[in-house]
Amino acid sequence: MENYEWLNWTLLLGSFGILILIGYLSSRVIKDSDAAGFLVAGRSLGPFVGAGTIVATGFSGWGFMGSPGVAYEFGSIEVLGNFFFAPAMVIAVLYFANFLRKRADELGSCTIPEYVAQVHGEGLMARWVKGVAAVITIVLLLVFLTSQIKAVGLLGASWLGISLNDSALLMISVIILYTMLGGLAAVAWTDTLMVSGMGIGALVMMVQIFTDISPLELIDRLNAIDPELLNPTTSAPYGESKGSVFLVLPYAFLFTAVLPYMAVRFLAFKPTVKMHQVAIWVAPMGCLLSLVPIVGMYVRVAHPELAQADQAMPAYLSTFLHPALAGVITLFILFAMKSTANSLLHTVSSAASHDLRTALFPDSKASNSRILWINRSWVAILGLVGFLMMLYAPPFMLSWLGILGSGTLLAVMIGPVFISSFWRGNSYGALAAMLTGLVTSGSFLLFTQVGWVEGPLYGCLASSVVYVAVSKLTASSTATQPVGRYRLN
Amino acid sequence: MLFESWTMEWFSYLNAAIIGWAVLVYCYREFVKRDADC
Repeated sequence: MENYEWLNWTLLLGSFGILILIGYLSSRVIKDSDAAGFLVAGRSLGPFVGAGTIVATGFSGWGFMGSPGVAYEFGSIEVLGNFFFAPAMVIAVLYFANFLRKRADELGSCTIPEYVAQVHGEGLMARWVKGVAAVITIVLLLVFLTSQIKAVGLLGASWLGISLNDSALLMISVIILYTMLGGLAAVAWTDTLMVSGMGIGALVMMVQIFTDISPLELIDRLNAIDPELLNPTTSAPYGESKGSVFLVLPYAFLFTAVLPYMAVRFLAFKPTVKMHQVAIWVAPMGCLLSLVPIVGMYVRVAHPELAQADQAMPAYLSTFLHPALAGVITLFILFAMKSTANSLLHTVSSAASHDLRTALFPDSKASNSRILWINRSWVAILGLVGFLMMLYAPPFMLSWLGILGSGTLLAVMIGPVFISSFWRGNSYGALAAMLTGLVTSGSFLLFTQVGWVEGPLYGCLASSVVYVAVSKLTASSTATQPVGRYRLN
Repeated sequence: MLFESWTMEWFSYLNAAIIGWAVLVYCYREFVKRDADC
């Protein structure tokens, strides 16, 4: 592999050049624009780029590294579980994205915390809601960002033959640079390039696997190892009952519809884009990427003596692919991690530079160029904070950190973002729901042994109930709104 | 039973349903609705 390190460096530096060039080109979108240019790409995304950035952000490095490991250990239940992200994204795009886009456009919202605040009222309470939503978003997504920086650093280190810290610093520096240059436009365009690479990577792996072994032979050999690998009597690791795996579908739907770093993409579409045009692209992209965990089942058949299931993908790359091709596929796996990391970085920096700033200083009259400078500065600051957190954070499991950050934020946002779309509560309900979701989901994940889907879903349930209950209890007769009706503020 | 595996059966049918839906909508928009719009 050492002889191919020069090739890996060439691939990496070439990809860096292209990503930075895209960042530079997309900076034209935000030049002379107001805050919406940086925050929602000037509402300029078309169906293909929009679909590309949704899928690339949703399918993180987990799909390429963690999921094949789970499929190696637990079998086809992981292939099914991971697949549910594809239909969930399609459903979210078809049935929620248009509502959120139109509503945010009416209100003039450029971020999800701002949307949450504007939907629930105005004045001091709205500032509180926006500030709290921004702070929680920053804290939880920084945790997730830390895990992505570490993941990308670890993979890059072994690929390039350098230390973890050097690798992580190199990767995050480039992400910071192009995100600073072009904001969400740069993130979306680079995501689209990267999801194309991820799709090619998935295709190459499937071609290699199914030219080596037919699907029926793969099934027969897995059955010979352990029938539970194909016909599990539980949904482990998703839950004890056979049906638990289907909980991934609502989880993944809420993941796409509610999480600020996913849902902000719905705000960035051109007003003329029809959501079914987006879904047409999301469907094949999602289905293609959902094939990747099959690698884990293939390695189980062909290389059954792995010491650790997590090594399924590295073992596959080093054993079954030519080193040059393995280098290219590794670049595409890095793309999967970077496309999530850049979206997280853009969202946390927007929460700090826009949401927190406007919550604290609502009467600020900063010029567009000054606001752009502030937005860009926060990208650099929080990117470096994420890197420092990676250096000094305790060595938690990477996937668990990701779930703690994203799953808990899901429970925080479900009431104010999703429930409010068909039953609007008030600012008190939104605040109470966010804090309840934070405490409930965080406690389940930190202090109990419940499954990674179940903890956030319990948090979602508690948060939703509190959202409705507190809104009802604190509603004055004049402020009460009929179900499904909105008052523009 | 397809593949003799309930998980792979669900995986295959759902995949086919989503891809089929995308192809149908694409064909409808490209060949039916566009002609009607002309």
